[in-house]
Amino acid sequence: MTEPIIEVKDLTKHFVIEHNFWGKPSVVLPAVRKVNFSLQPGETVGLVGESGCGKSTIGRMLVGLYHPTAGKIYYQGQAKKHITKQVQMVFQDPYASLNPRMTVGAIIEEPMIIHGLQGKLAARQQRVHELLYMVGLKPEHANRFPHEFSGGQRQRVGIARALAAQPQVIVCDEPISALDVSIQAQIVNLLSKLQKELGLTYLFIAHDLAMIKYISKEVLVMYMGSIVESGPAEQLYQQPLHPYTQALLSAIPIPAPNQSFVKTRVHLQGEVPNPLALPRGCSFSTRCPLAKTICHEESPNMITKGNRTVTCHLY
Amino acid sequence: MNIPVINVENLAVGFRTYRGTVHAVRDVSFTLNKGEIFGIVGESGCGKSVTANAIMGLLPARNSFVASGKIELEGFSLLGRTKSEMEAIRGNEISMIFQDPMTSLNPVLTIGTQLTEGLIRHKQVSRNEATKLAIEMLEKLGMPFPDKRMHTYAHALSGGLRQRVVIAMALLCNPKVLLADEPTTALDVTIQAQILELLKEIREKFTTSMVLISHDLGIIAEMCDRVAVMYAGQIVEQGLTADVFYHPQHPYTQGLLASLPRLTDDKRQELNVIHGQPPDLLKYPEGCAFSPRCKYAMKGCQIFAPVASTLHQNHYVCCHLCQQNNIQTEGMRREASR
Repeated sequence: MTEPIIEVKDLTKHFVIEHNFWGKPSVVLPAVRKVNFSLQPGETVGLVGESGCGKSTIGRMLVGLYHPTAGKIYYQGQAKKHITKQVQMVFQDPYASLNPRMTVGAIIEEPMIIHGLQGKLAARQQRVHELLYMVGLKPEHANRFPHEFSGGQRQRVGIARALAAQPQVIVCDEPISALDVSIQAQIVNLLSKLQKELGLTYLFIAHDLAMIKYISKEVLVMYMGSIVESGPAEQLYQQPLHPYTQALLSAIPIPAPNQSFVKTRVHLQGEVPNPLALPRGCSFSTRCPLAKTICHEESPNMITKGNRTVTCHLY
Repeated sequence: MNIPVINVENLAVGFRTYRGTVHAVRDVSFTLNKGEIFGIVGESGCGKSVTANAIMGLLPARNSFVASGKIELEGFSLLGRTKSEMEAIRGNEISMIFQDPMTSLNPVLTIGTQLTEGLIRHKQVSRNEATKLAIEMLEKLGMPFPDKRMHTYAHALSGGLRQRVVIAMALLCNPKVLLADEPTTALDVTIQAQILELLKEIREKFTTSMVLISHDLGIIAEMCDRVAVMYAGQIVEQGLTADVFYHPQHPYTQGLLASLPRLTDDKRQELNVIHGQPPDLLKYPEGCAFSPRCKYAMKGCQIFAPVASTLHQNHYVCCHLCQQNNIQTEGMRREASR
């Protein structure tokens, strides 16, 4: 096995919601709780989970937009503390993540200026044109403003901006969820093409399970700030171990009418618990159809089964 | 044959903007039968929601207009009604579930006030009676502690519970038709599964007819009896859900279905793509609106708009490929009209 390009150890992020009179944190939201995983060079790892489970927070910590409360991120064996050019990000909403007052060319050029790449203006502009061509846009688009583009084209600009710093790793934070179905496929194909050409490593965050299965080699499933299950995509989808993964997979509406009898649905009762008042024991125990007494009392440990891990008392 | 609950014929809706008229809905026809779930699927901006809002009479009068067509509720025309006439129908005979439960509830009124408002207005019941009915409805929809929830505000509820409140509100007057405009788009998958199950139960319990609007082909496949696929303001294909999903005839429907990654797929081959972008509806498309992106496009497609042709029972397709002599007949019709 090759050395992982990114390794994450016991990564934790707490957001302080309220301070008390002395300025000490009094209400703390544990967004990410002791997460461990690694990214192999040239591979795609998918991160799934419901809204508010902490998947974007992990992505932002990898890039350096948030500082972890505890735990370490290692980039090629070195502890990573700041924003670096090697790890870049593609954001969810292509309508909000591009500055409306900058031209597309200026947007793509900015990372090069910040990281001191391609010193001369002419060289930078040459590079902007190359990048636009790589993501399927035309060089003359460099002088236009973001509002002149459609959602799919804007997401292409976002990808070009991420590529401008010549990164090794790109964190894709729901890059397709704001786009239409026919455009989603275009962007996903573009991302796989770029991965092949440039040998990029992706952390692909999404809530669309079918898309995650398609794009990733490894999948991490998150619930309430911790990873409940991980493993190779094929195995995880064929035989999900954690009850949450099972429920998540069976809840996907499948575009094949009159075939619903094939699958047995696991119905989850209730709502996602309040992250400020997590249940005792396993955080999924309040909704789990298979919960036992121990689940409400002790939090489960991570169990490794071959190349898969699961955090559940059942195993 | 019995009268359909909703009958929409040749509906065309336009919006006046400073850049010109946007032809948001062009020549849309469909019927909704009793106890049926009819799906409308399409990408953003294809006119799904505008169609629903036109049925509800909720189009902004300031800048939009119904250019032609008719909308009938059990044979009773809904177009050209006065404000007060529409108010008597809206919420009473036709109800709507909006996309985002975070914004479709009033944040400064209690859940109870919002739930009972419609009943008191439409059914002339007392406040106490209305409260009782509302609590019963919340209980039926699986809301925990319904009597306590009546005094809370929307912000105190989670997304799934808020959507239940919105659905309860829509159902309280026992409407004939429920229009669900992307009812689960703002929710998580596991909560979405709960809400969809709930909508199915409602159909069984109350025999409500529903129009379900979604961009998610999976939801449509699981919920609907019949489905219409919309593109650029038109219905391009319409039929029984199984027919449309297993034997799609229109190139757009075929492309959409092929571009989805399936859970059952094993091979990681490239996804099929529909190239290009949907057209700008500021310009009324000459010919077939899909022709610039269509891989089967012929010369005639860019000139003559295709007419809906019946393939077999209840399966309509709006494409020249499905009716070879369409171009000829259209050409002759144009000649004749000159």
